[in-house]
Amino acid sequence: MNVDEDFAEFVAARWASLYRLAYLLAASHSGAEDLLQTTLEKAYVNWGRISRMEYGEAYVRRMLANGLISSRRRAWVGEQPYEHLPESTQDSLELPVVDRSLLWPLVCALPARQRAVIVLRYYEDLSEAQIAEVLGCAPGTVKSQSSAAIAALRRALAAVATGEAVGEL
Amino acid sequence: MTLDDQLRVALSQEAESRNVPGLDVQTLIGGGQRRRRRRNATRAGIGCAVAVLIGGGFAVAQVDHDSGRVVEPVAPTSTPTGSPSPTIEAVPRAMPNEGNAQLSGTYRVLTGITESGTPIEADWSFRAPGWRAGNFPVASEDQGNAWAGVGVYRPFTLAEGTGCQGSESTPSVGRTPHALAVQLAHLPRSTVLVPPTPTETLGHLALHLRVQVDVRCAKWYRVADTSRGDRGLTYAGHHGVKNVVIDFWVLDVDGTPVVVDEWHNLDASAELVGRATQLRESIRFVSAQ
Repeated sequence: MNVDEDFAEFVAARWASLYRLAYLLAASHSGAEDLLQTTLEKAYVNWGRISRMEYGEAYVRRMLANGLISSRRRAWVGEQPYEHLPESTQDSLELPVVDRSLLWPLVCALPARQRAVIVLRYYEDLSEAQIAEVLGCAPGTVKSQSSAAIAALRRALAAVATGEAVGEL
Repeated sequence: MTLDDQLRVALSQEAESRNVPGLDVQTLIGGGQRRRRRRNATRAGIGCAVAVLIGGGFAVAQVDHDSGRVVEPVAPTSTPTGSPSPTIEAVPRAMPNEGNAQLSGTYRVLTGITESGTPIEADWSFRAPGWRAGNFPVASEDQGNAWAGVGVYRPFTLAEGTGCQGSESTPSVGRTPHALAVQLAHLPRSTVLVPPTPTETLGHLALHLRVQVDVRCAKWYRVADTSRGDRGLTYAGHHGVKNVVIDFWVLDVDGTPVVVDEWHNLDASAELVGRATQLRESIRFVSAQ
């Protein structure tokens, strides 16, 4: 089987799964298509190497997340990652069941990097260390991004619950 | 239900609810081929630019040793429009990786890619005879009873499990020289002879460590997966050979950890080890020049 056939077989088998991840990362249909096409073109260029990997699909999924962040990369300084999060004890607090149609728009409103952390953590089930590796940052930074995202979601949900207008997160 | 749980459910449901668009593989492959052509053209351009810079720097640095005065650099001669630039010939050849090719002279090797996407290249100079091509070059003596080799690479994965080709490997590779050196000190079936120690090599600060590895495998012991394929100790386990000694230097090249290694069978002669050391010390990183 040559490289093109091998690549085509992989894409055909994993297209739906990869598209869904791209959709969650990009938070839009058109963004997902652009992200997925760019990522798969890059994967094709290196397919000889990727196809020999034990976890080739995992590598491509990480390329997707990395592609999203790279496309929106900007100066990201001044943030101080920290080990202990002040609101971390609230993570296990019980909440009333929230409809997906309410929660998903709030996730979409998160900044791209925070959204990527949330998707990688709760959809891809990656650990903080694995997310740090994918995004090319320190585990402490993943913690702070995750913390900021969760705090923003809580604020937005509380605002919705009290009937306040939900602004940009 | 916690927010964590709700996020898991919401993301999963949102993903599953999407109508997946149709797939056009040929468009993807076409885009990939165009991207590859652009990449190759860019690399060729970088090679030309490097050759011009090296050539220019060399001309400026020339000194008339008889008189002790600096020789005026020769102005580059203009070439007719449309003619190929002669400086392209100054770029060393790519090092072959097919087995048994004899290596001599200087070769340029793609060692890896930096975090920012810049190729890391290195020039290798083979002055001693007897080096054979592979993913990474090897030399032998005593009719193949003792082997030595040299490698330079940025690992994509590192050995786990038994360490043998086909066993597990981890894609979680350290992003700093220290983290990577610690991982190399824990290779499967290895014993640390010299722990990671700060040093300097090939013009870069580095961490050096030495390990002894039991390399008995059905095929070969695979240290890492690299842009040149497996970094395997390919011939070391033949003829009943059990152990090799491998020195690692983990360098910081433009912010990216790069491994330089040199290995030999325990019973290799000092002459063979010396040949490997000479080859390793000939390596020059292009991006650092």
